[in-house]
Amino acid sequence: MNRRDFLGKATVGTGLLLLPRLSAAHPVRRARRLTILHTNDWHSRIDPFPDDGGRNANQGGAARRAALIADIRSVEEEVLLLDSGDIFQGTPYFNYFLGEVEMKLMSEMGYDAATIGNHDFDGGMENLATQLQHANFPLLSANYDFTGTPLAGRTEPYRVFDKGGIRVGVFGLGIELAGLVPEQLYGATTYQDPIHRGNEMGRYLRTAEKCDLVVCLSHLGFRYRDEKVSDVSLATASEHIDIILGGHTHTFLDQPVTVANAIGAPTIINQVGFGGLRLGRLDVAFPKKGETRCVACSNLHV
Amino acid sequence: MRLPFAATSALLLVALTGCQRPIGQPAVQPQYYVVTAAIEPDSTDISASRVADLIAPYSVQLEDAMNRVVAEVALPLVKAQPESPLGNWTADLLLAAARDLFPDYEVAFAVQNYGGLRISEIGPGPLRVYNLYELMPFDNELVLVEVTGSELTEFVSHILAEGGWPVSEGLAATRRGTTVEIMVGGQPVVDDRIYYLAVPDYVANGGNDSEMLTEKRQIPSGRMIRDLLIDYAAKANGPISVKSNGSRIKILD
Repeated sequence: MNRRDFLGKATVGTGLLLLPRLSAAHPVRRARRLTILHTNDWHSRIDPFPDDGGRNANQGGAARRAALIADIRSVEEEVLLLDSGDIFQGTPYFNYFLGEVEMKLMSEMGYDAATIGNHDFDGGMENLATQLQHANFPLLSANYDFTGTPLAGRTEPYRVFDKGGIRVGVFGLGIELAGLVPEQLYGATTYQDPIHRGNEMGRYLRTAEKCDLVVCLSHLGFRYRDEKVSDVSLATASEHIDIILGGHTHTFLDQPVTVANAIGAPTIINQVGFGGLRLGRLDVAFPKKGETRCVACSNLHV
Repeated sequence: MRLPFAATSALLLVALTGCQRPIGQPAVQPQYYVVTAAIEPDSTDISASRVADLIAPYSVQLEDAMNRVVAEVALPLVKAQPESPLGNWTADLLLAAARDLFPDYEVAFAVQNYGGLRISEIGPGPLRVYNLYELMPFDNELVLVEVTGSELTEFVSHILAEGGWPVSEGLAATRRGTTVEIMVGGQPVVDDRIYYLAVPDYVANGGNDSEMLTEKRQIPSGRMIRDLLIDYAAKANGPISVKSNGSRIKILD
């Protein structure tokens, strides 16, 4: 199928929301649909994988990703583009240019936010702070305390995005650094318990910030055999996180995994492998005013 | 652009039921796109053209150095646990480098942490500099670490507990349930003897949960592992055809 044909078909049934003139004529009308696009662990994979007969030969690549994102933006009104960390390290672009190209590319593609992966420390914190000059999007981390480091004041715990009236709270959580990242690279950074901080952020974004949707950008890893905190254990212990966009374990989930949270409500976990091989997409539809949840569900079932 | 679209997932609807949402309960419809050559941008893709223009001045600086052919790979160098051709090849190159770099020490064996090898296969075909950058992107230094036989046993037990890391010739380690048997240079480990192991400084400094090596005496080489791999891969006599026969790391539980 033609790429644009596909995108056209994918939006059948939501056409009204996509007409800009209608939006302009009714400025107070709220959007009922939001498209979240996401990547994780793209690891400096700027060119496609080498065309050498390997498993991922000639796949991925920033220019193709940019084309795809631009196509989706051309038909979807409200798009959030997010990344779950490990932007850096993996190809000579990082060794030579220290993350400058990655940050410029993500800015050009219009990323709204990213969190910090363990390999984003690989050039040191001073370097990450330097490369942030090339980024027009925030790095979000709610559980690394950078007080007294070069990153102090350079990151934010969360951002609230107003997407056509839908309030989306996005925050970041990072993995424990001790034993994983060389100490001289993370220095005085203090790691805080992700579950505790995740619950604090979720509660705050839902109640104080009145967010309709709470999204966690996580670099904790999808799931572990041992007790190590993961996206699954975070989801299970959380109350207000709707969606966890994960990373670190390079997990290719063909469909998101839904986990019952601490109050029995579903939390969606997604992860799209590594190396920019995939772009994840979640279309979040909110019901019209007066509709109950079940009506909305049956309307949307395919 | 007239190109096929690669893939999307089956449609799945998940209703979110969190409380206190000002505008009602959302439903989520997921899909994903596979980024392949089928979505190759053309000149009508303004965003992709800008991205390509942004990359070009950087990529031109890398091209010549990265495309240099170092050697020829005859059999695919594949990464796997508990041991593999890619792991054995890498660790043997590090051992050869360590023996040249530390002529005054008897190097028992070399170790590379499994997670430190960042690609899953190389070849067959020409081995180029960029392959080795992608295999070992980290700026890790090769160091010697001085350990006693009992510390060596603790470290090798960790390697086994992790499912097996790339190790060079000189080490044969077997785990049966909770029993670990280690031979170094064909001899059992002597607990109070001193051994010298060639490892990345990342591991020597406790990385990948190797805390048993921290505070041990380290002898620096001043050479990055990646650069050593580039130099020593080039020393191959003929095409590289490494096989792994499982004699270095055995996990039998």
